[in-house]
Amino acid sequence: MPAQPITHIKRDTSVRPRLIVACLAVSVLISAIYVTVSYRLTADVSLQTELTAMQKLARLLSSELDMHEGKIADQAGSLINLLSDPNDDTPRLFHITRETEAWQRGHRLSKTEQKQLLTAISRPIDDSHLVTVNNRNFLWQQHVGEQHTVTFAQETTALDLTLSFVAKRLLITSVLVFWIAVWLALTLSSLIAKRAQEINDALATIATHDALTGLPNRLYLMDTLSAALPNTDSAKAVAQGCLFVIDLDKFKEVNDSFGHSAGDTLLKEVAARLLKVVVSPAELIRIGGDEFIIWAPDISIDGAEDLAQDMVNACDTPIMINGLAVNTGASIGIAHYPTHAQEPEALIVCADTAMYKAKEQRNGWQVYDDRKIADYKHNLQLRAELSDAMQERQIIMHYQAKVDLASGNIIGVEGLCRWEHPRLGLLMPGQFIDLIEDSGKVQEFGRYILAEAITQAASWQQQGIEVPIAVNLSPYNLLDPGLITYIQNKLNENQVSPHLIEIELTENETCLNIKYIKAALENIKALGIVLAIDDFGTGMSSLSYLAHLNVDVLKIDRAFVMDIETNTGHKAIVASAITLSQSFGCKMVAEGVETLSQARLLHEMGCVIAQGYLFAKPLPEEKIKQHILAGKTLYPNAEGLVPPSAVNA
Amino acid sequence: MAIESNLNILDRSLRGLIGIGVTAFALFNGDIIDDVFIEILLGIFGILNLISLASGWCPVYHIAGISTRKQ
Repeated sequence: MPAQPITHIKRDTSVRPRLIVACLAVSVLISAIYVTVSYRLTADVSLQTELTAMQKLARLLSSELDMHEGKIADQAGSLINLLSDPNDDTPRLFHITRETEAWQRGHRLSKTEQKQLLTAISRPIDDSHLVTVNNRNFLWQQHVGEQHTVTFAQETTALDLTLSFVAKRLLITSVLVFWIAVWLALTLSSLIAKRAQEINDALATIATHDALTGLPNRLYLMDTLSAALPNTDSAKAVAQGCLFVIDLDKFKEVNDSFGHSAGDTLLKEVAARLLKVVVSPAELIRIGGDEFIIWAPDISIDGAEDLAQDMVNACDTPIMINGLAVNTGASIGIAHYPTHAQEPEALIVCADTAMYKAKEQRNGWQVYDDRKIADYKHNLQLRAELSDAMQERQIIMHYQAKVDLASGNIIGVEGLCRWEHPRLGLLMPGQFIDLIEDSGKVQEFGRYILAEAITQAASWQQQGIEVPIAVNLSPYNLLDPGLITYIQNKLNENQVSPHLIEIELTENETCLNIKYIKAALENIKALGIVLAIDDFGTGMSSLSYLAHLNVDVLKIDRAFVMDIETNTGHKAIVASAITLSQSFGCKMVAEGVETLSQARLLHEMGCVIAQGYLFAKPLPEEKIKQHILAGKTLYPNAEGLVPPSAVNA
Repeated sequence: MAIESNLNILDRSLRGLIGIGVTAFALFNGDIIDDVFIEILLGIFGILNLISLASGWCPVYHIAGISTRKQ
């Protein structure tokens, strides 16, 4: 749709010929009307003049005859000769009657014609005093005097004369009028067409430009791209080019915090800065909101990267808004024609995808990369499917046993989530946990996991299994203000004892805001739920955690356990963690125990509880339940720990 | 209104021919027209065409913003 209206407007040149034809038609019509009216007017005036003259002659003849005695024939002939023009050769007829006699004289009229003429006059069709005999027009007048009645008829030449007088003048005038009309038509049509073109140009400019920044808009972009990309015959076709999609990182915040006018100021300023960086023939286009596009023909990917860096730098300089320096970063996606896409829409999609990737990685700009983008698209799709996954309970728990290092008996389980994806099969947490954190569903997901664990605990409780279930929560979950109430309600609903639920807090850099979550942790503890710190030793603030939060369990990270036998540093850390836990009066769990010798060493060092593949992988609920119900040691081949004394021996 | 030639050679010649013909007819038509008013009209019309012949410029084209002369 986009490019169509503009080209349509530009191509509409039919106005002008139509106007010319209309002007000419009107001028011909007006000329015809005037010619007809003038002709009829002149003819009427001529006839009237002729009739008046004939009336006078008839009356004069009648009066003269009345004054003389004697036969009509004796007087009439000479009187007629006297009163009429001797050179007038017009066919005519005089008919004079008196009580006792009648007389008539015809000039250039046969007896038959005279008779027909008198008959026609005696039965006039109308009062126009015009009769037609043998296709010849005759005017007639009749004067009834005291004694004589004079009828005078003569063939009229007025119409022919009028035609001959008027025709030439009308013809010449018509030609002149027509000529003037042609000029008028040309002038008018040109003026109107010119004005229409101006309006069309203005409309096209409005349609293809953004009102706020004055930059071209998406419509213009599509027009330009469709001219530049696939049409090799087009004059504007290019061999290569790069399309940049630029999105401002902080635009929404500025809009929300300072209002839309501040947002507009920001956009204008950014547009002005980008315009300084973008050199013709590259064009800056605003396609809406805080998204800009730059189409740079004849530029390679290397050149595009330099340009992108310039643009990132331009956007990184703070902009003064309401007296505050706002630093709006920009994320730029770059797609190269023809490497990444050949079609305008596809090119935009590629650059757009790269832009989102750049935004996610916060690295300023990103060139479209099929492989990376495929991952990204995959993640995007997973993210979109997350809501459904939770609603349809596709996310399930697998349980990994925590065992007593001495006996190998299960003393607890850690619930680990798995996504039973309808298309991709069973997904591990690594494949979707980040998506949850990015998608703003952390708190919803935390509640989901807790509910799963509590429901499971309730189910086991009914079957006589009293093994605590631990779930992993991110400190973000503790910012959920309704979490405590939610847990309390769930526990009550399912009638689960709080000590059967453990919460393992993932330790990462977000724990720095410990003061915010401290209250939540204390409330959780108050419910009777066991608190553990997961992945201990890898985080940023382990010790402050321990000092401030009265946790019940420390889980030393697998990174220290896996090479504990060879890495003395790690061994020392584990040893000190064990000491630390003993000092704080909490339990210590070693994660990632994979070999018997590791288990043995840990046990020797004083660690009581461990989990790892040596004992059991995370298992579906049914299987772990079997293990629990069997109540046997999980050491492989029921080997158990060989007492240290035996080893030494 | 700056006078700038806006007629191509064909347009100019045609106007010249029409101008000469019409002016001559207006002046030397004998008794054919028999009307001074029309003779004056024809005269003006002819002279306008002769002006176009001489200057290569048409006022109507100028007002209409068109030109038959190649740019």
